[in-house]
Parts: sequence; C-alpha cells; structure tokens
Amino acid sequence: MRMLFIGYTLVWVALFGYASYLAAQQRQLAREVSLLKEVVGRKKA
Amino acid sequence: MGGRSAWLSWATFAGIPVSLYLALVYAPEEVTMGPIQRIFYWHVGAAWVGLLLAFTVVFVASVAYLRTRRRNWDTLAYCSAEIGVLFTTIVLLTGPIWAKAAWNTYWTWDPRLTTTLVLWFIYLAYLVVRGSAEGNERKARLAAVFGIIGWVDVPIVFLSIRWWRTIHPVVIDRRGFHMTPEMVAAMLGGIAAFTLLYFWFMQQRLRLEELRREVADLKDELREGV
Repeated sequence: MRMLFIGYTLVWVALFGYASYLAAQQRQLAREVSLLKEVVGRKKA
Repeated sequence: MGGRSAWLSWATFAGIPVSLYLALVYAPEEVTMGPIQRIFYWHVGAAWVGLLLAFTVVFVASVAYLRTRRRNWDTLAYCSAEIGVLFTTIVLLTGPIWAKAAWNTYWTWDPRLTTTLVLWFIYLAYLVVRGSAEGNERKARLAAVFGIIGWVDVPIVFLSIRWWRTIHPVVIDRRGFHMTPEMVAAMLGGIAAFTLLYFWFMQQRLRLEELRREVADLKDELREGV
C-alpha cells in the first residue's frame, strides 16, 4: 500500500509540477508582453 | 478562454478524479500482487500518451515541417516532445514500483524496459537539440530529422514483447484483454484521462510558445527603433 501511495504521489508531483511550471512561465511572459507593448506604444507616441 | 478551451479544461479536471476512482476503488484487487497492481492503470495511460501519442505527433509534425518549412509544425513537434518526455518519465517511475512487487527488483534490462529507456534518452536529446535551435532554421531542421529517426524506436518498444523473450506482462493480445471487465474499465479510464491531459498540456504549452514569439517580435520592434 505504501508503494502504491508513493507511486501515485510521484505521478501527481510530475503532473502538478509541469502544470505549475507552464502557468508560471505564461504569467511571466504575459507580464513581459504588456510591459513591452507599453514601451513600444510610448516610443510610437 | 474560448468555449472549446474551457470544455477541454473541465473534461480534463473531471477525468482525472474519475480515473483515480476507477483505479483505486472500482477495479478489484489483483490476487497475486495485491494493491500495488493498481499503479498499472496510470502506468498504461502514461505509456499510451508518452510513448505512442506524443512521439507520433512529433514524427508527423517533423515530417510536415521538413516538407513545408512552416514554423508552426516545428513548434508543435517541440511541444509534443516535451510532454512526451514528461509522460515517459512517469512510465519509467511507475514501472519500477510495480516491478519491485512483481519481480523483486526495481529494474532489469528486459527488452521492453531497455527500449523505453532508449526512447526516453532519444527524445531528451531531441529537446536539447531543439532547445538550442531558437531562431536557427538549420538546427530546427536537424531537430526535425532527429524527431523522425527517433520515432523508429516507438514500434520497437511496442513489439519488443513479441519479438524477444521478455518478462514484461502482455495484457492485450489478439485474444483480447487478460483482465476482468472492471480492470479493463479502469485501464481505459486511465488512457482517456491522460489523453485529455495531453491535449490540455499541449494547449498550455502552445500558448507559452505564442507568448515567447510575441515577446521576441516586440523586442525586435524595439531594436529596430519602432
């Protein structure tokens, strides 16, 4: 039973870890995009 | 979030607990191995997605990229390879847990296990090559060739249990499933849940690439003095 728990936990860690990584990267890039758009807009003005 | 995208998210996050219920509660306990056999349901789901679906998408998208030279195909292959490596890692983590109970060893150089490990290394190398190819078409072409050649190992992994003497169990053959109907339902539940998860991951991963491209374009615009 202990090994089964370890097995399913490992799968959860892998899946949840990857999903969190994707979400964090998306957030960071979305912030970067909005900042860059602001700079480009200011330069154009 | 679009309608289709929201539907996929809901289906994915509903599918995982359903699959967990089928694997841990609904399916009967296997008499010889006991509870540890229940790891099999997600092991098979991960193998279906990682070894077959994801790497086949890499193969098809790489062929399409070499034929058309359209960047979208290359991006699709790259994203699918990353997710394929993730699911193959899950296969390589859950397999030994089951093996310890069944074979009394975490690892043995059995043909199925060895070819799976080789496949994992091939696509790990693909990720390294493709990761360094950003903006470099020649390297992207090289990665595509790698993705195509690497796929040759996929049928070898699946047929290894028929071609060579192996201790890996054969649960599906020409005569059908060697399991109770409840066990088959739990296995199919795992396959369905992980397939949905693959498409959800793909959607998120492609969105990430879209954002990366947007950042690069905006930086180029700034460098050129707007």
